[in-house]
Amino acid sequence: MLGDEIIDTCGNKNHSHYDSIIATSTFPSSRVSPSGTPRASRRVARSTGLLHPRLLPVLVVALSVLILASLVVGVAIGSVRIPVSTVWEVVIAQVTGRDTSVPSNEQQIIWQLRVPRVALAGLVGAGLSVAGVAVQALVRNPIADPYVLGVSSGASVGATMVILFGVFAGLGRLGSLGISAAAFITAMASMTVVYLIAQRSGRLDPLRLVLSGVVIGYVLSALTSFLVFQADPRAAQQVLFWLLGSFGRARWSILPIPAVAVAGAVAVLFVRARMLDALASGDDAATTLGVAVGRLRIELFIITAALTAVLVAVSGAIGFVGLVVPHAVRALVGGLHRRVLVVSALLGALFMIWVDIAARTVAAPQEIPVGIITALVGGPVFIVLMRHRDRRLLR
Amino acid sequence: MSHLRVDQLGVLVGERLLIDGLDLSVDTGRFVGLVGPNGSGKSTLLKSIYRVLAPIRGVVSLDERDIASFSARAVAREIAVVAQEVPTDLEFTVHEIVMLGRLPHQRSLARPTSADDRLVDDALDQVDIAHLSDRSWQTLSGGEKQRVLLARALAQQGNIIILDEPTNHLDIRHQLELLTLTKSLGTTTIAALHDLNLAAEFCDEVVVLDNGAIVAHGTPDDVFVDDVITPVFGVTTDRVVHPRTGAIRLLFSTLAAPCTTSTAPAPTAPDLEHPLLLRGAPS
Repeated sequence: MLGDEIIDTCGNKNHSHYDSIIATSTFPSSRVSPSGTPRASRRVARSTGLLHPRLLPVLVVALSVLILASLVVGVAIGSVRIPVSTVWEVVIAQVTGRDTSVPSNEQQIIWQLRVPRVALAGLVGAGLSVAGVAVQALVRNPIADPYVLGVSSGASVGATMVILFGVFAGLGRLGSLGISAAAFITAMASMTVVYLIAQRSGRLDPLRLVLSGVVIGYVLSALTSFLVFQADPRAAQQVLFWLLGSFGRARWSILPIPAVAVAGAVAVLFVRARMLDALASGDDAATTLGVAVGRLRIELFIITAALTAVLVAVSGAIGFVGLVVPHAVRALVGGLHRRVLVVSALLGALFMIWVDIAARTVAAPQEIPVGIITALVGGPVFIVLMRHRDRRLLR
Repeated sequence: MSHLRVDQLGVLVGERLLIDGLDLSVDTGRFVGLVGPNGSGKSTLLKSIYRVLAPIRGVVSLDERDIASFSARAVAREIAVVAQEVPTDLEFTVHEIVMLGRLPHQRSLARPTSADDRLVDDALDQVDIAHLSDRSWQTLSGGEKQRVLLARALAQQGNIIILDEPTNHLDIRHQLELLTLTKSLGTTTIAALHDLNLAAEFCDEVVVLDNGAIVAHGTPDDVFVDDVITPVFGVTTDRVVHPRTGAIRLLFSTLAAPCTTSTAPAPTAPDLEHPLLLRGAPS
């Protein structure tokens, strides 16, 4: 805050200086820069965020440390409480293959259930946040979230069919993996339909993309509701629980696919970060800055839709994270996508690990769907961010 | 040096052929003004030069090379654009936006170098907004935003600058300053301008567009005559010379306005009530 005020007074002082120069000569060719620093050395320019970019490495390290600590805490907390020291012992034993005195049922809980669960929560949190950043750039609309492309409602149809009727009988026999597979298939199908509706001669128009995503979303949600309405109430509750999201089905076997999807998406988007910056100024402006906008949009669409489909398939449709985290991160580090992507992935992971901890403990021994907590926490955070941003701009 | 040529250009916007068979040649270092009434095709022509619109016919070429064969980045290294569309909701500082002008010169993962920083600072200085460097885009006035976009175009270091009605959001002082600055760069410039007097004052050449076709192309002195202006703009003009700069100034009047020069008889009362009658009646 103090930093902001200093900048402001500098700005005002320079402004009057500038006026007097303008009065005498039109365009002075060279002047001392306001900071008075020599220009040969790279200075780190301010961003629109609250945090000075100089402190960015500190933030990244701090978030990483917090994530690691939360992983351990997340494994320790649950219906059976396990001391942190035991958690460490088991994890080290599993990784190094050393022997441990921890009883094998406790080892099972830690290594086969809790570690994958916390890891999946972190992955999904990171993935949804990054998908949110990408989709907001794709449709150039700050209220967009990953589900605006109709992916989640598509996934819901597939998951519902498996849960209620065991359709895709082959998939149904796979148990929870069958739900994921069906959800992924129908999510990709709905994403294809949205793409075909939104594109015009191979170009994606942002507004048409949002509108067709929303419309297809409504149609598919209606289909899901119809299926649930036909089914018996117990199965209906199971569907509702799946829709609101849970990491309860996490096992080591399902982790590789989301892990590859999140890492791949982050890597590709990071390489495209400067293009995303340019795209924020509008399609025409991005074109004049050398960005092949048509191709970039299609890439972004495929990346976000496929990533979201994978995440929804493994964890259900967890809302609000993909909307709130990118906004919070922009308020913190400004709008440059290189920064927003990295910090969003970290903050999203951290947030989701704690949401999952809350989901397991708030109403223990019963588990609350994750989506309920993300919305209950995310909503107020979003409102505070929005009001704070207005204040910052009005000053 | 970049010689820009447009040959037999045809541009389809929606279902309408807005430009058909247009030829234009712009020599290196010239300041060329594009004038014409609303919908005459100024922006359409410029957009097909900077490749936001793809022509259905014809060729735009830079130094005899078809611009359609360039990559988007290569075009952006040659042509910098200040467009009339001004984005509203950008979470960037002025410095960050002007740095985007360096994008076509940077590799995708490379961080800006100190040379990039210097070019950005110079560009900010040139348009006199160095003091705004750390300000957020959303806190700027319309005129400040337009100057930021000009600074971004300068940082782009193209051989050609295109100004697509850049003066729309500027007050008169900043209009004059923007054009003075752009002209002082000596870079080839093509500017769509609404104000014919600004065009007369700043342009080496003026191109008059009407219904997607060039109806006149020459020096302001050649082009700004009633024979050209009246059919295109639907106004009559009187030419005077600016007492200080010596530039041509046009005084406009509608075709319907009564002629009140000293030789004309004073209008009678019924004529004043029906000024259109005066035109119809031979004097």
